Amino acid sequence: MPCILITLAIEVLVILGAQPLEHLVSTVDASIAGAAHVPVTLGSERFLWLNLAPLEFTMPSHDYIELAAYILVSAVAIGIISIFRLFPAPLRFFVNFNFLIVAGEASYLLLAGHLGYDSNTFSTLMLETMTAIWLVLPLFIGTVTILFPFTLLASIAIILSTVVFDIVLAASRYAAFIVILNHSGPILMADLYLSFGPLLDVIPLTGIFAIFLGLLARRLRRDPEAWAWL
Amino acid sequence: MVVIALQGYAAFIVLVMIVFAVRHWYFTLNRLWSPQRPYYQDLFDSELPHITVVVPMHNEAAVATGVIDALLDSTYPKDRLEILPFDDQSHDDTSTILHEYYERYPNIVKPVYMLGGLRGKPNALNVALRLATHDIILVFDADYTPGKDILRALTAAFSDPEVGAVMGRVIPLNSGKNFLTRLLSLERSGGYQVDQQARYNLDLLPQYGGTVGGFRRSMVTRIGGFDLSTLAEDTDLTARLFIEGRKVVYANGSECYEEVPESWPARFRQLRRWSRGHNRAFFNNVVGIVRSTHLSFFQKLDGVLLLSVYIIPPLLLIGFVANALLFFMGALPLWSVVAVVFFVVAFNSFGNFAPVYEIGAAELIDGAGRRLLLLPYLYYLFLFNSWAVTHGLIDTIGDLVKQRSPHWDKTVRFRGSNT
Repeated sequence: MPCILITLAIEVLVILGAQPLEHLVSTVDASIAGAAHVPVTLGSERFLWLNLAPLEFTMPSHDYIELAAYILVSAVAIGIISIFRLFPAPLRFFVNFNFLIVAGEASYLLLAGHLGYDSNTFSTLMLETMTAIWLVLPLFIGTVTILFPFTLLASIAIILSTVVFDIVLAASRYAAFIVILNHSGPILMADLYLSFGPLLDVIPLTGIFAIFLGLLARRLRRDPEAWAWL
Repeated sequence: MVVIALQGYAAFIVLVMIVFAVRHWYFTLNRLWSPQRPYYQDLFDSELPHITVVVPMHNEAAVATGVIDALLDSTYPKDRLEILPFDDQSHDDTSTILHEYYERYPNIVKPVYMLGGLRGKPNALNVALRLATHDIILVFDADYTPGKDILRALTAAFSDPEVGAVMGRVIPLNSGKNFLTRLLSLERSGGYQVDQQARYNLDLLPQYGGTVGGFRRSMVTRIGGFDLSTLAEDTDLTARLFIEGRKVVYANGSECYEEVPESWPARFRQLRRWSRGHNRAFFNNVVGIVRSTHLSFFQKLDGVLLLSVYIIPPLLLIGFVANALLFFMGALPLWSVVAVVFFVVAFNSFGNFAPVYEIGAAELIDGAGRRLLLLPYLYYLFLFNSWAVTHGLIDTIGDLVKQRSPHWDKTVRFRGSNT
């Protein structure tokens, strides 16, 4: 029961703090982009009850020769990596997966002429994704935390640290994507979003959870009475 | 139209992931906080019956002595024990080793030499159904090291006349060997310590895993023996026993040690073979599970989810392709992305399909410490496992279309090697 209350309290905190947080992220990321010599303008979009300020930036376009080169290079890279088995299998599959997305995007650009997202809509998607994750994250982590005999303090620490970590991670990633896309053009947009975007959040979040679980395991080993719950 | 179809597919995948995530969350909750269902050994102290122990072998010279010595060293009364090691067309010294045991223990170790015909475990087990002297047959793989009391513990389940099969817990022997074996150890832990035990607690469908377990010969013979068309004769047997209203029980305390693959190619082949067999068992039994008059709604649901675990990863991979196409078209639904972020947690390890919280709980119960820090690395296996399982599903579809019987691809043994 205390864990449920804590989860709900942090959820309310995130809901109340979402708007100023959005504003802060956009302002900070605009500064980072400016420092990296990427000119950006702040747009305006509505998402749920929030006003988002997606960063609009310029991207170089690709001609068909460039796109054909991307497809060719990706195919050759996949071939070389697969045949010569340069890395352990899981890493190999991950690298090939990225080349496949790039080749797929280049093919789509060749056929359709343009991608479904431009810098504005991509920025909006990024902001909407990170906001939605922040809003769901306390509930999700709380639901998992409730399974384990964590102390009240540990439960608060787990939920808060994962939320804070994800806010910092998502904000810095958004800035990094803007800088990269400003130089690379839209060819890397899908790969960045699908491979290094929000899906990657799961890994550090699990890492944080694993650290707390390790501390719990240590406590349980020290105190046999703590096993009474089982 | 294309966008609607792709978004519909993404919605379906999200729904599937939510179902699995909730299922395993409930299993974890049950394992950690609910009273545990006692195992038969805790309830009965009956007279020990005569049993036959079957050990299928193909080129197992490196490990044959380990498993037979361990069985001979068990506390089970030797006058009630029969060991049938099957030499299934080996090309190494397996047959010589088995013959030496026969000369030393002629009344206990009775090797069976299969010189030709169909090779593979299901066929060997069907032969065992004919040759075994006793009704209770326990099965161990050749690379397993049974503990001293495991025969007694597993046999206790057959005190219940409704029990058709029993499954013990598998623990990797070489978990500290390298990064892969450590991750596989985590997977196994979640799959057995939490998943199997929770299904046993909840009177759902614990799975007979083909090793570290046993079955009642009369019941298996009555339902037609082992299906030669599948490489997962264990899953197939589980489903058929439940369809016929028999029980499969799980003995968490009956621990046995196995060797897990130490190389990525070996693991890929093992997973591909599991997927090929398991998916065949799905196609053979899913209708029977749904229509069985002996199963409750939740047992049927658990049965369908259990049988479909190796179909989900390929569907998930197609879901990723759908999401990529939707991204190219500028129509990626936000709910899909957010759901994938959270519920991919449920799919991090396809070996035993234990999500991260389930593995965490299992490791906690097992008294783990630092190895809990390996949990995030399970995502490292995501694409690898999905791809291997997808290969297996393609193999299954090929088997069904061409009406062919798959050949047995034995997992490489690493014992004694320096890899």
